[in-house]
Amino acid sequence: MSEFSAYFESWESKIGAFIDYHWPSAFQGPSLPGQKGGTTATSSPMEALPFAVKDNIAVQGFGLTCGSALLSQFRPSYTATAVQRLIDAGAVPIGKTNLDEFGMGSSCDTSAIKVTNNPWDLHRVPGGSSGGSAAAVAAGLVPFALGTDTGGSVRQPAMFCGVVGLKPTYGAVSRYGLVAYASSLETIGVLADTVSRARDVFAVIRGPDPMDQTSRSVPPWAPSLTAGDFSSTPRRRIGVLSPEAVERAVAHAVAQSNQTILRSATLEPEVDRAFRRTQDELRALGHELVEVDVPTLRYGVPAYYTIATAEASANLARFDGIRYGRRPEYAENPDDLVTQVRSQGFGPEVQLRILLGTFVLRSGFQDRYYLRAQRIRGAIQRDFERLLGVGPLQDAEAGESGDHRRVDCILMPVFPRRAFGRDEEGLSPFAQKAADLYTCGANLAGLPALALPVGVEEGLPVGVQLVGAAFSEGLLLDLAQEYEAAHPIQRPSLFKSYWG
Amino acid sequence: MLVDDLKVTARLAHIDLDEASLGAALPAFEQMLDYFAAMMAADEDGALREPTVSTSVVGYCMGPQALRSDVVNNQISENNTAHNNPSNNNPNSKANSNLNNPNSNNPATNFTLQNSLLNSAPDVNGRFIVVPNVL
Amino acid sequence: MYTSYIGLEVHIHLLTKTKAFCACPAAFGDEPNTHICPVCLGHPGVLPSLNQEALRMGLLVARALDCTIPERTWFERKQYFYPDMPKNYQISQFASPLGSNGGMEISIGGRTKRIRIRECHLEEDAGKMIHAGNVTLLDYNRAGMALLEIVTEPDMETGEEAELFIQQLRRTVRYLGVCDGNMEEGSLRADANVSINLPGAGLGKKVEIKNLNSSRFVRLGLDYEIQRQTELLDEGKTVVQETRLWNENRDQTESMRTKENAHDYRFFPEPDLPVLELRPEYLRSIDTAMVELPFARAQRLKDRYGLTESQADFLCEERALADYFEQAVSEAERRGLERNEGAQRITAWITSDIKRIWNRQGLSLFDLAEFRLTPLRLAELVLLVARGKISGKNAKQVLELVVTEDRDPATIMVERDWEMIIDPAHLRAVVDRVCEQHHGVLQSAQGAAKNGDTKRRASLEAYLVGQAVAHTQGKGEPTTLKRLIEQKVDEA
Repeated sequence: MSEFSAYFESWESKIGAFIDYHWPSAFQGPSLPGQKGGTTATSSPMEALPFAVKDNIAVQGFGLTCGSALLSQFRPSYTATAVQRLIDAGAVPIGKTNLDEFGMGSSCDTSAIKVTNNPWDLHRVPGGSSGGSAAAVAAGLVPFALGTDTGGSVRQPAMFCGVVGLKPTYGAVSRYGLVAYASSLETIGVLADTVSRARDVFAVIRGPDPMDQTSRSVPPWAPSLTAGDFSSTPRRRIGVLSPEAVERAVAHAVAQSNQTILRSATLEPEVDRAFRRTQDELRALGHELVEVDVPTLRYGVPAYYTIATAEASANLARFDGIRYGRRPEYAENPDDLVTQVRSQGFGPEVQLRILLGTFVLRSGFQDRYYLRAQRIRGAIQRDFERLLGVGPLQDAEAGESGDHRRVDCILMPVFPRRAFGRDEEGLSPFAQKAADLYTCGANLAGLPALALPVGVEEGLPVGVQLVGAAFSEGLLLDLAQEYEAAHPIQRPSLFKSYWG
Repeated sequence: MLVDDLKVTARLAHIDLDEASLGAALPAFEQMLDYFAAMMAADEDGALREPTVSTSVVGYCMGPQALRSDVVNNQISENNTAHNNPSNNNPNSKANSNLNNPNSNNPATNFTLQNSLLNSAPDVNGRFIVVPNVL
Repeated sequence: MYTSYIGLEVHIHLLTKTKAFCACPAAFGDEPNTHICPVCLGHPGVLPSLNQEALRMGLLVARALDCTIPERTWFERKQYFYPDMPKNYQISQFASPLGSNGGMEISIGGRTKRIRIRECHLEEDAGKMIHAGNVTLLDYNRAGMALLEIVTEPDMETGEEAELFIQQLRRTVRYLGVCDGNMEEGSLRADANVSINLPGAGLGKKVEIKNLNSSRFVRLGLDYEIQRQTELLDEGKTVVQETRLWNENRDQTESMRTKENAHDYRFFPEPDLPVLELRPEYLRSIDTAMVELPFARAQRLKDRYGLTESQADFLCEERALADYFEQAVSEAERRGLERNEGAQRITAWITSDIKRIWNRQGLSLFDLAEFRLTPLRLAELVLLVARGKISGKNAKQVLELVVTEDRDPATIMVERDWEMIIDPAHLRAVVDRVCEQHHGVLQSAQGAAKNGDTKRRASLEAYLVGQAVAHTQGKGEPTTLKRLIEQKVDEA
């Protein structure tokens, strides 16, 4: 334990992934699965594994700051369902990780609690909003961590830190215990050191929960989660969403003057290089790659932010300092109390999103913004369904328009650039939002998406994303695991794996 | 005027924006609204073929039979597991405070959860949560 | 003169065991903040979970109010900040309520009037605020309890119509077993709105009235307000569109001191709850729980049993009472008593002696199942009286004894030896003996009969009847005795 302890402390002092952690005294040190106390190989793969939980997911015994000053002292009276299922399977939550405040951000730097650094380059952000979870896994401090993905918040930090990031199908994992930001978009997701680990964790946490009536059971026709051997997995037909097509689409849709938006789809050369190389590598494995287009994705970011901020404005209304939270010493009346609590307790990014969300729901504006965004969302869903199919997966057959057949999954970039730096080396909040272009689609359509590390370019990891039909996590994991076997995931120097 | 809209919006959201903060918040607010305006092009766009009234997330409908049955349960968490009340070994918790009320007419719960919830409240009087007077 | 347009907005507390969106007990009156959990307290990370019984009860009411039920229904967030609202939004309904375009009949001045129901929908209640000096105390036991809101069209014209509507609605929800309708305790709350205008000129400026804590106050408040508005318009002034409070001490409506700003509720569909598909099979299961509603039942009782309007109205106040009545009448009918006669006799008993016993015992009509004078026993007693087997006076005593001793009327009657003698042969023998003993009186009566002096005859006969009754220790059936004596007098 002490060797691991030293390892843990050394990394943590540099990256600051955890808001709070404690290793239970009973913990005999990082255990390899199946080796704890003489248990056999038939014991659960989760047995005795430590894991970290993003600090917007409730775990009794820890705080639930959500990265916010408002909740800095709050302790929940219950544990999230997904966490409880892992505990019941034998895993041990050892700490809460840093995040952008209330999950709003793409850097982890809007946290009011602390700063987290990318294990690959301490001057860079780990990504957001699940930056702490991604950093902890990337540094080998835990084999896996739970995060949340509302518009890319598991996948983007997964890419920035070079780990596996799974965003499940909406409703596959209970949201009970996740502090809601955008209820109809978000899921609890998994950051893991290997694809196989992500698979094991997902198998435990998925499944309906009576405490979450939007959670659903896995349909009988969904691809199995049990890993087969790769020689028997079918060759897949993979649709590739080309960034050039997306660029053109964005340019078509948006006022030409906004350079940030116009360039939001453009991949930096390192990312572009890796994206092309990955396509070749997948072809080399025998899969068929075809170009596809999701035309409505050009409206994805504004539609995403309209819906997300609208829901957030309602979800965060409960933070008024009355039943919990930080309260000022004196207030004249409840209105004054509530306003003070919120104005002092929320950071500027959170305030901005609450204001936007309140605005787009206001009488007189709702049609123009919120309802229009929902219509666009429906169209994006349908675009994905046309490509991926819905319901029992059949062999690729002729689609409606006849000029493209169905694909088994879609390959696309995760984020246009690798981990960015801070200040002048950083990315403005607005540019960060615009860059959600590739990730927000899966949230809008409720589909599963897997971010997979494919290499390191100029010292920073690059990843790609596989998006599948609803409940097709098994298919995505199989494909990713096959790729991973052929192209092992690279780790930062000083990384050491304590878990098999 | 957008700044007036922002003022009204801030009041609705119970966020205090004095003149200075209003000025500071306005540019980002305006920038995002301009971005949202890009959605207007969707109306003309052939890509949005069928207009839908999207009432729920991903069109998820269910029959009422799967809803929660009307049975009282005061447990902390009904997470479909055998482990309720997983860890009360939290040294920083104020859950075992003076509010633990032994005269409960419900012997099963002893109000542990309820007291723990009350302990989270910043201002409590007996079993009431307190706010300054509503006008 | 002006036409008045009165609408009502009624909230009823559904009698579910748990709250609308969490499994906390939905109970009143316990210690503050004991029926709470992270969900109804709006803690971070929790989600609502809809109570299927709340939905079922809401749909029952929608059906009873003849509403159209949509194929799909869903919830919405109604957003505003208030200390008694844990989430600072209320889970309610907006675009697709459980029921719409319905109506309910009331009986006014002998005619039937249909009041249209605009819609009814489910929502959650807020917590309770208690003002104490310079602080406000919050108790969230009530937060999250299931409410059904019922909104009418402005079809009522007088305070009395509104009062009748509330009474009928109260009866209806009690019949359905979904609400106890207690306005004093707050399980049924009503806000009224009223405007007046020249006939044909459309609705006027609407004033909302709150704090109407009984159906009587609903009537008084509206009558007062209509009068107030009438005076204003007569003086050439305009009515201010506002919310007023009913002051029950001063019998008047008053402007609220603080202006309530028009809220922008920013409704949008609740993403944490699924859209509900209300398929025909499910709705059929709701229908099997439907009962005969009070208005229809009162009409049927009048038709079937020949009851008056006010008798039917009285008996239909509670479903248990109407059931009690009908069970007793059908038992009596089964035993050979003519239906309408049985109905009248039983109604008479219920409205007098039985009602007195209920009041004395403090028996609520929900406890009728415990009442020892069961419908069968009441029927038995009524038969005994109708057949002349027991005197009216003794019957009243038997009734009391059934309740105290929990035994059948016939058993008590026999035990106390109160059974009247009705056997004609026996009675004839008695009459013969009495006429022998009082031969002179008989002759005088016969003489009076011959002379056509009916008054004297009646009086002499009465004397003989009295003697015969005494001769039987009061058990001789007086009507039969009288007839036999009359025959004797006529025999001469």
